[in-house]
Amino acid sequence: MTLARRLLAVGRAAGRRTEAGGVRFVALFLATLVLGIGLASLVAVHAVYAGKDERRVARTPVSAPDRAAGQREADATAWLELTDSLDDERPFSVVYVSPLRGDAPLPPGLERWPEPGEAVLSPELRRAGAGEDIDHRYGRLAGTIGAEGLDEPSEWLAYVRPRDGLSPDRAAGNTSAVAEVVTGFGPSAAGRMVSGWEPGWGGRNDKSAWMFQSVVLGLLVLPAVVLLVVAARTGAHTRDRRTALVAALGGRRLDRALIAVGEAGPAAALGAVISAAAVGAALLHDLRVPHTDYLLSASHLRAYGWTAAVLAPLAAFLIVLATVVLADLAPRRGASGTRPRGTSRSAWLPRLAVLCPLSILLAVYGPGLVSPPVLPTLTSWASTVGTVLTLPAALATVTALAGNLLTRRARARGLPGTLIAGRRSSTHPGATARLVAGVSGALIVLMQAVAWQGIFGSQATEARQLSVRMDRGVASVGVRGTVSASAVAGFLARVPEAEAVLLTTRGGGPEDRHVTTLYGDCAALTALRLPCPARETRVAGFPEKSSLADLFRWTSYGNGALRIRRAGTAALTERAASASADRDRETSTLALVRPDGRPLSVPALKRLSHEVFPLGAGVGAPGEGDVTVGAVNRDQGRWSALFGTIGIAVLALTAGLSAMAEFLRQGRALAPMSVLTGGLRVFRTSAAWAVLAPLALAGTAGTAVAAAIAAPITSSDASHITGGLILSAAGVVLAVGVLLWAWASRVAVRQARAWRPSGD
Amino acid sequence: MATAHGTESLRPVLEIEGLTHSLGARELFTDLSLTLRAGESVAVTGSSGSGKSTLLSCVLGLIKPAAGSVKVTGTDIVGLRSGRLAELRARSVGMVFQFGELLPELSPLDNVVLAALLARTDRHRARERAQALLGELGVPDAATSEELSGGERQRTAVARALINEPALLLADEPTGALDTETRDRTAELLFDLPRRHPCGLLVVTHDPGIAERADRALRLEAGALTPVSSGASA
Repeated sequence: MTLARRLLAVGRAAGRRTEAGGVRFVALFLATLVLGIGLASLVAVHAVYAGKDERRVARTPVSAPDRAAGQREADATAWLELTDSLDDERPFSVVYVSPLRGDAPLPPGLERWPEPGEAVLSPELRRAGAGEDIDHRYGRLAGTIGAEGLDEPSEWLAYVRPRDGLSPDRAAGNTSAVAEVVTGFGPSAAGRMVSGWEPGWGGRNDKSAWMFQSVVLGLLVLPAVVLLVVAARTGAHTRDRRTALVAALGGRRLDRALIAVGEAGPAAALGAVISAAAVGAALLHDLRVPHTDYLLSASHLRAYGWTAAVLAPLAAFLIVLATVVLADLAPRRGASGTRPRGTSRSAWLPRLAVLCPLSILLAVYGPGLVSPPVLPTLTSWASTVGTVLTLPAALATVTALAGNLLTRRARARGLPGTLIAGRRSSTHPGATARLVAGVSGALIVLMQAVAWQGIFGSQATEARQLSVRMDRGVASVGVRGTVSASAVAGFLARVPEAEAVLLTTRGGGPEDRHVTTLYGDCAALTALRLPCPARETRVAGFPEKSSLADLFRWTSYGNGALRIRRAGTAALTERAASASADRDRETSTLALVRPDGRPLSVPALKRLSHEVFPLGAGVGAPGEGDVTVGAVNRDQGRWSALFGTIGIAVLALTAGLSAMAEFLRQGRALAPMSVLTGGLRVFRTSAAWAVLAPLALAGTAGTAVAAAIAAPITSSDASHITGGLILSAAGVVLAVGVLLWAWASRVAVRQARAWRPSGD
Repeated sequence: MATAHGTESLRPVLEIEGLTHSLGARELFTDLSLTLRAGESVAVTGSSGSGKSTLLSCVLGLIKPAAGSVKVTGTDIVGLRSGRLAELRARSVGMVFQFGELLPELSPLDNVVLAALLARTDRHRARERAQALLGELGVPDAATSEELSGGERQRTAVARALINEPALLLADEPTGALDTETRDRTAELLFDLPRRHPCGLLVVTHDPGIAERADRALRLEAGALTPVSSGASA
């Protein structure tokens, strides 16, 4: 034990006093930290999915054992789940509930029954919808839904108790709004759980857990492992010498392992402790994840608290120690020789470099030149892989050529730092290639991931494009439940700035469904740029120039014929009321249009609809439903961007640290020169070329190439690859480069100042 | 030879037989043999690249020769498992390198103690003995061995080589980096060791002045050892 402690202490002392200004300490610390958080994130993803499932099951409505007798059943709740959304945001559930009689079961998360006309909202919905005054959209606010009633803290959900109550009978005429009879919630309640009635969109929107896990694995854990491998070999020159010496003194493998552990231990322990503390903080409080605006549930995580906060950091700690031990003990090639082997300049690097522009050209233009559907994808993938493999070689070759130019310039002008850097870049292109490979590869993979994420929601993308150019002066209003003509009239009276028309489609045979009838007075028809015929007129479809053309297309009335029938407000409201009473016979949608073309406020209309109609109305700009579904994809894409940016930062750090360690090792050789010349500027210049230049090149060229070859995948202009993403990806790499450059210069200068001539 | 240790001194501590090894196309040793007894010192000289350091690496077991046997205190180290080899090195072999090769981060005392601990010596005994050896060799206290002069480092390396009372002491150009005066003192110290400790000393040097202080001086040439003085044959 004593020996073990002593050897650990030897390692610790070696770690403290070793060269390269604590680069290895920082690298190992960061590797453990990111690895610990990465592993904990894997646990957290599992914990959140499991926790959400549990909560969803617990709030799944249970159907009355005898549903036919539902209404007469004691202790029952009427339950109607509908959908709403905030402007350009993901859809969420609005559940209309009402106690039917007796001790009606309250949905989980509600402490008491809201009064008629009151609503209870989830905290995050209130926060996100504050701009639309969501608190008052469905009635008076009676409180917030407790955590146990939400599948996770981020969930948007509303429970609304309609002013006039809710009964299955009352809504019976309305096929789109039939209230169910619920006798309990979750597995503990007697009866049959009906998963279709379950509130919330999470179950429908969430990607599979394994997809999320792969994002964490690929963009967080993998970069951490790469950083670890580089960190383990940082300053290897000194350590290899020590390992050999200890072996020569009779140190066994275990002894050498203990020294290696002693050296890496403090850095790894610090990283593990801080990652444990970070995870611990997430166990205590719900944690808002930056960029995604996601609130990580502390209570979901707590179910796996030990695994996330203790085992994951501990595993990271052990993995780091195992890696440094293996890296130290692994036999080195050429270690048995007594003379160092010369390194031959690689001949394949320039050859690979030539293939790079070809790969890029193929990736950008190739998919458009071959016949769909399979070949463009194959071409895109093959050329992307080609670019990932050849871009580092191209960057290295460019740097080597630049190195030659630098050398010439430095010789001509007498710039020592530039001369050293120029010579180095031109003689070691392989080192530059290794340096930039991780960063440029990661940039390409990230952009590809974001681009593919984008095309999965291409329908939504089209919808959003449409909604951007769409006439915001038009809104569709789908009244829910059965309403009276006076209610419809009351509603319209409170939107005096807009003209109204009613679109109806008759139920029945398929032929009927192809004919849409439009009711409206002349003012409204004129505002819609439609003719105002005295008698019912049949036209082939909406004139393209009409504001309602998009609505006509998007409200899925089909592309059939249109009948225009002039109708005054009274006739129109009567028609709307009768359609609401029997939806099997006829479906109807009100369309509001502002003659002055100014936008209608959808949130205000939604609120008004709840004031006037018992269950409100589905209000939206035409096609908005598809846009909100697309918002889910967009929100999920933020996770890829977040993890991708972190991953790129870690890889840039990895590349930079390894460049810095190599630079500092060479800096020792430079130290005597500074004594001779008295100048320290040489370190700043050569550090800039050794550390900053390759990273800056990898960041800028890598991002440009990555964005360019991802562009054909998202040929529509609503690509998820935004300017912000491009700037932040390149910016992160540049920032890391500048930071490491400053650090490397400082350490090199300090190293040079401390240098004294000595025997070795 | 001096018989301060009685019959101990006759025991062979190193027996090399039929050693053959090449580096690339260059044949370094051809059927090389050498016997070294306790209490005896042998110097091996040779031109640069003749294989002197490689010979020491073979004796340490760092390099596995193509053929032949290298017995250290009777145990053939060629093909010995790494654990047993490490144990044998720690217990029976001491080594002084050209530049001392101390761990720069450790104090001179810790450098010496470490070698004893690797041989599983009791901590207190190791410390006492290390202090005594460093005192005897005149090495001053220092926080790190980087603060020492070249001669002090080399003496620390000698102390480290002696701490485990090895049967075989190896030295690779032990005075190569030293000035004349320090060189002479270090050489005196080294060659006096087999007389004071029961060990055999094998020194590799290109310095004839150092080599002639040994009981036997051999020259490594064309892969074989030949005597350069009137000493006993290899």
